[in-house]
Amino acid sequence: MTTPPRPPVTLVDYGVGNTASVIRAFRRLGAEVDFTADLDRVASARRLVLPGVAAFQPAMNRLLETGLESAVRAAVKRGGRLLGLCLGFQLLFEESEEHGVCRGLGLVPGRVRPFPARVRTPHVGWNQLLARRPDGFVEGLPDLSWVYFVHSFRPEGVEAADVAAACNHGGEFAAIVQRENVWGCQFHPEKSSENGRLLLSNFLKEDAA
Amino acid sequence: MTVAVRVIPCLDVANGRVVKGVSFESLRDAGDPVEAAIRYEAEGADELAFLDIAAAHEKRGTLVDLASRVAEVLSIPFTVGGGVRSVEDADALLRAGADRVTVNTAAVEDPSLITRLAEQFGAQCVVVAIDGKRVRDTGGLAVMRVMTHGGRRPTDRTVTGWAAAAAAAGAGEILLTSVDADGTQAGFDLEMLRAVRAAVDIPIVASGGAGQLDDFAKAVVIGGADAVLAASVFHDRIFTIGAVKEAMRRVGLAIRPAPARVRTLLPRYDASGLVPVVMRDVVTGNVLTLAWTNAEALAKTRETGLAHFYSRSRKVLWKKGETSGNVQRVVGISLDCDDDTVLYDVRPSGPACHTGADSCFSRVETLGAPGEDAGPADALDLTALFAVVRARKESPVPGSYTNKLLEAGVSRIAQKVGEEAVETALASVTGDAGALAGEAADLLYHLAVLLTARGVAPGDVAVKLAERRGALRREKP
Repeated sequence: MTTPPRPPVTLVDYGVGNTASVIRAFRRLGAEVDFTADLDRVASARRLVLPGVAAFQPAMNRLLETGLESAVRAAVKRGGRLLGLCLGFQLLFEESEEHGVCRGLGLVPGRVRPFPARVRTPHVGWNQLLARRPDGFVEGLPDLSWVYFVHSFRPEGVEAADVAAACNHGGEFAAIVQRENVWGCQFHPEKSSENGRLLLSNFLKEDAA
Repeated sequence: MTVAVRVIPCLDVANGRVVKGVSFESLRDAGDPVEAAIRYEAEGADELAFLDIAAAHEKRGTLVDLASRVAEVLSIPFTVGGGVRSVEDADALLRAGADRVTVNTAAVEDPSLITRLAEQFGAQCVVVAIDGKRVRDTGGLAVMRVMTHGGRRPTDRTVTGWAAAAAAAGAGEILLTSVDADGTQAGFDLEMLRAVRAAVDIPIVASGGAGQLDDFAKAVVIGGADAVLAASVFHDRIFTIGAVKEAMRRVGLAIRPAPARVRTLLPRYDASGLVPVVMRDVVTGNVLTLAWTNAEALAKTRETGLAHFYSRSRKVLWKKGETSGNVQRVVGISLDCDDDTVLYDVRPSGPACHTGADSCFSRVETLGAPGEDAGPADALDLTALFAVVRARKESPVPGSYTNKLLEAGVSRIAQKVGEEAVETALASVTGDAGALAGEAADLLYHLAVLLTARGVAPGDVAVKLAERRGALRREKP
C-alpha cells in the first residue's frame, strides 16, 4: 500500500497538557511530526498545529512570553495552514472570559464564553456536527457526524462564513472554523475515531490547485 | 440533537494485564488490555475506563506504561484510575496519553487534590470516583456513606455531601459506584444515582449492578446519569456495546452508532494463541474445511489475501495450497458473535481437501432409520440443471427442447422467462403449493437457459447473491 507523501506537521510546544495523542494521530496518518518551540521552525511551518488542554490565560501568557505568538502569526501570514485544537481553537479568537477577560490571537472574529448556567457543563462526550460547508477541513465528512468534545467554554459571535460546522449543546456554537488558512475545532479529532482521522487527513492535504 | 449517552466498558487491570475475580486474592488473568481496547473501540465504545485494582500492591510504572500502550492504538478517549494520589501521578498518566484520571481514596483523604488537579489540567480531566454503600447509623437509619480502599472502608462522609464537595472543588465528572448494587446484576442503584443527581450539576457516570439490557437506559432516564459503565457484562460477552446502545436508542436516548466499517476484527485466541477458522466457498456457500490460525497467520492472510493457517501437528505457519497449488483467495473475514471462531469467505482455485475433494466434509452420514423416508429436500441445488443446459449448448442433442430454445435466441428465451414468471406469480395466488412449485421449476429452468445463452455463469449469480446477503465484505485497501 502506498501512502502519498505528507507535509510535516509542526506541533507548537508551549507546555500545555496532553499532546501525545495528537502526535500519534498524525503519525498514524503517515505524517512526520515536529513537536517544537523553535521560533524559526514554527514561523516557517506549512502545517502548524496549536494544541492545548489547559486554561486560556496561562496558555496565552506562555505564547506571549516565549515569542511563539509572533511566530504563529508569521506562519499564518506566510500562508501556512494553522489548526487550533480544543484550547488551541479557543486561542484563535479575539478574547476569552475564562477566569476574567483575556485577549486571544484574534485570527478569527469571535469571543470565548462559558456555556449558559442551565447547560450541563463540562460538555463531555460524543455530539453531532451540523455541516455548514462541504469542502476544506470537512471535505467528505457526512452531516451529523459524531465527534468527541470535552470543554466548558465555546466561541460566540463567530461570522457565519467562518463556521464550517456547528454543534448544539445548550444552543448552537461554532465547532469547526475555517477562515482562509486558519482552521480549528473545539472537539478532539485525535479522539474521534474514524471521523477524526478524516478531518486530520484533510488538514494534511495539499491545497486544490 | 444532544450529547450522546456514553457507554463505557471498564477494564480492571493489575500489573499491566486485564484481570477478573471477585476478590483480590482470586484474580485471574483475562487478557491483554491493548487487545481488549482495540476490540471495544471497534464495537463502538464511546470511551474506556482502566482501573488499576492492584495499585497499592504494584509499582506505578506499569500503569503509566499501560496508558502509553493503550494510547498508541486507541482513537477514542480513555480514563485511567486506581491509586492516583498526587498531581505527579496524574501528570505521568496524562502525558502517557490518558485523557482523564480518576481519583478516589486519595481525594477523600485530601479534597484539595481535586482542586490542584483541576487547576493544573482543567476540570474536564478530573473524574472523582465515589463508592457508596448504605450503612445503618446509630439511630438505625440507612445512610448512603462514602467507602474508600476499594469499597471496603466506610467513612463519615455521605455520598451526596461528598459529591457536592467534589464538584465544588473542581471535579469534572462523578463516577458513582454503588457497592450495594455492584455484582448483584439487579440493576444500577437508581436511588443513589437520583440522590447524587440532585446534589451536583456535573456529569455522572453510573456504575455497578448492570444485569439486564434495560438497566442502562433506566440509569439515564430514571437515575439521571450521563454515561453508563460496566465491566463483567461486556468482558464476559453477556452484552455487546451495540446491544446496549440499541436498547437505549429504542427508548429515545441519543447514542453514537458503532463505526460502520470495522478496520480489523480481533478474535479471542485460546490459551495456546489459536482460534479455529471455518472456510466457506463464497460462490457456492459450501463449507470447505476447518483449520486453525494464530495472530501471525491471520496477519499473513490479510497481507497476502491468501488463506494462511497454523498447523497444530507441525507447529508451523503454512499457506493453504503451498504444496498442491490450490490456494484459497480470501475475499471476506468474519468473526462469530463471541469472537472465538473466524470465518474466511474464499474463492478456491482447486479442491480444499487433501483427498482431492472440494470440501473436507464430503463423507456424509445417513440420518434416520434405514428405509425411512427422509421427506422432501429442504435445499435447492441448481448445479445439475446448469450442467445439463451447458452440456446441451456445447453438444446439441437433436430434438432437445433446450437446443430449440437456444437456437431461437436470447429474445425468445427472455420472452419465455417473462411468461413463466407471470405463471409463477399467478400460481402463487390462485393455485395450490404443488402448482406453484411446478411453475417455479419451469421459471428456474428457463432462467438457467437464458443465463447460459447470455454466457452468464451460475457463479456470477451466486456472487451477486452473496453480496446481497452481505457475505462479501471486501476490506478497502
